[in-house]
Amino acid sequence: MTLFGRRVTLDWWSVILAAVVVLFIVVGWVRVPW
Amino acid sequence: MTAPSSPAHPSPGPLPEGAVASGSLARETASAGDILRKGLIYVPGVLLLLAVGYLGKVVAEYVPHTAYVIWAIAIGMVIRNTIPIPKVFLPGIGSYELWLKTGIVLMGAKFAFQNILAVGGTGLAMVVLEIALSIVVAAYLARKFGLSDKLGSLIGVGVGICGVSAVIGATGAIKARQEDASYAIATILIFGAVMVFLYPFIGRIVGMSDIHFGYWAGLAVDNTAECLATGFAYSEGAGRVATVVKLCRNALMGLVILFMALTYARRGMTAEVTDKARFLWDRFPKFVLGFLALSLAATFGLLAQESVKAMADFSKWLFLLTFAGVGLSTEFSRMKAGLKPFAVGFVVEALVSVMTIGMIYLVIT
Repeated sequence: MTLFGRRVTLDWWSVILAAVVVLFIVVGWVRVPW
Repeated sequence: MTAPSSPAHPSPGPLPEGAVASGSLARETASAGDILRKGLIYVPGVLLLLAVGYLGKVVAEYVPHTAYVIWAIAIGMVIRNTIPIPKVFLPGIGSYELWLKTGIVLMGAKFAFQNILAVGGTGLAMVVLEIALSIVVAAYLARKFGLSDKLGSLIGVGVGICGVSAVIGATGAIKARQEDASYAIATILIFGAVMVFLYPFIGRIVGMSDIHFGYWAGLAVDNTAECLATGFAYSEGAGRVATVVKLCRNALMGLVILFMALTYARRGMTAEVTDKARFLWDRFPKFVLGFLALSLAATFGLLAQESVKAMADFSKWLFLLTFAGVGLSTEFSRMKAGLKPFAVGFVVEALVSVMTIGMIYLVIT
C-alpha cells in the first residue's frame, strides 16, 4: 500500500500506526483498559 | 504549477489557476477516498477478529487455568474449518500481521531497555546455536530423504528463524521453486498450530518457570504470531521473554538469508548479491526499531506511567486480534506438506525443541 505516493511495507505501517496510537495515548485521547 | 498531461488526456495549453487548483483538489479527494475505500474492506474481518478474540477472553474467564490466547485461536480454528467464511471477511482476517507488529512496537514501552539487552544478549547466543542446528540438520535430512537442497534450506531457515516470512525471503534470495516454498510453509504452519497447544501443556508438566518457558517458546516456535501466542498462553511474563527472544531471531533473518544466498551463488545456483548492505536492510524487520525506540523512551522517563500502562493495554487488544486471526487463518485442508518435507520438519522441530530446553536449563539458572 502507498502513502503520499511512496510504497510502504507492512513493517513500516506497523511503526506508523503505533506512533499514531502513542500520540493519542500521550495526549490523553485513548484509554482502553484491558 | 502546471497541469499534468498525458496522451489520453491531452492538455491544449496552460489552464486557468482555479482549474488547476480544483483539478489538484479532485485528485487529492480521489486519493483520500481511495485510502478510505481500501481501509473499509478490512472492517468486516477486523470486527470478526474482535468478536472471536473477545469470545475467547470471556470463555477463559469461565474455564479455570486457561488463557484467552488458546481459546481465541481454538474458536478461530473451529470457525475456519467448519463454516465457509464469506469473502468479505478475508481481507480483515489477513490483516492480523499488522496488528501483531503494531502490538509488539507498543509493548516496547513496557520493557526497560536494560532488560531487553539482558534477555536479548543471552537469547542471541542461544538463537545463533538454534539457527545453526536447524539449518544443518534440515540440510542433512533433506539429502537423506531425497529432497532438493533448496527445500532443505527453506525448512531449516523456516524452523530456525521466523517461519513464513523467512521462507518467503529465502525463496527469493536462493531462487527456490514456489512448490518447495509451499511445502516448507505448510510444514511450518502445521507445527506452529500444534505447538501453541502442546508447549504450554508440556511446560506445566515439566514445571517450567516463566523465564525458562519464555526462552523455550521464543527459541523453538517458528512463526512470530504463534510464538507470542505460546508464550502468552503460559503466562504474561513468559510471553514477554518469548517476544524479546523471538525478535532476536527475526533480526538475524537478513544475515542468515544473505549467508544462504552467497552459498548458493558460490555453487552457481543463484546470482551474486551485489549490494550486501542493501540486502540486509531490506530484510531487517523494521518494527523491531519501533519496539526498541519505545523501550528507550520509557526507560529514559519520557513516558508517564499511565501512558505506559495504556500502551501495554492497547497492545493486548491488538494481540487479541492477532490470535483470533491466527485461528481464523488456519485452514487444515490447505496444509498439504507432503510426507517427506513433513518428516524432515518433524525431526528438525523435535530436535530443536529438545536441544533448546537443554540449552536453556544449562545457561539460565
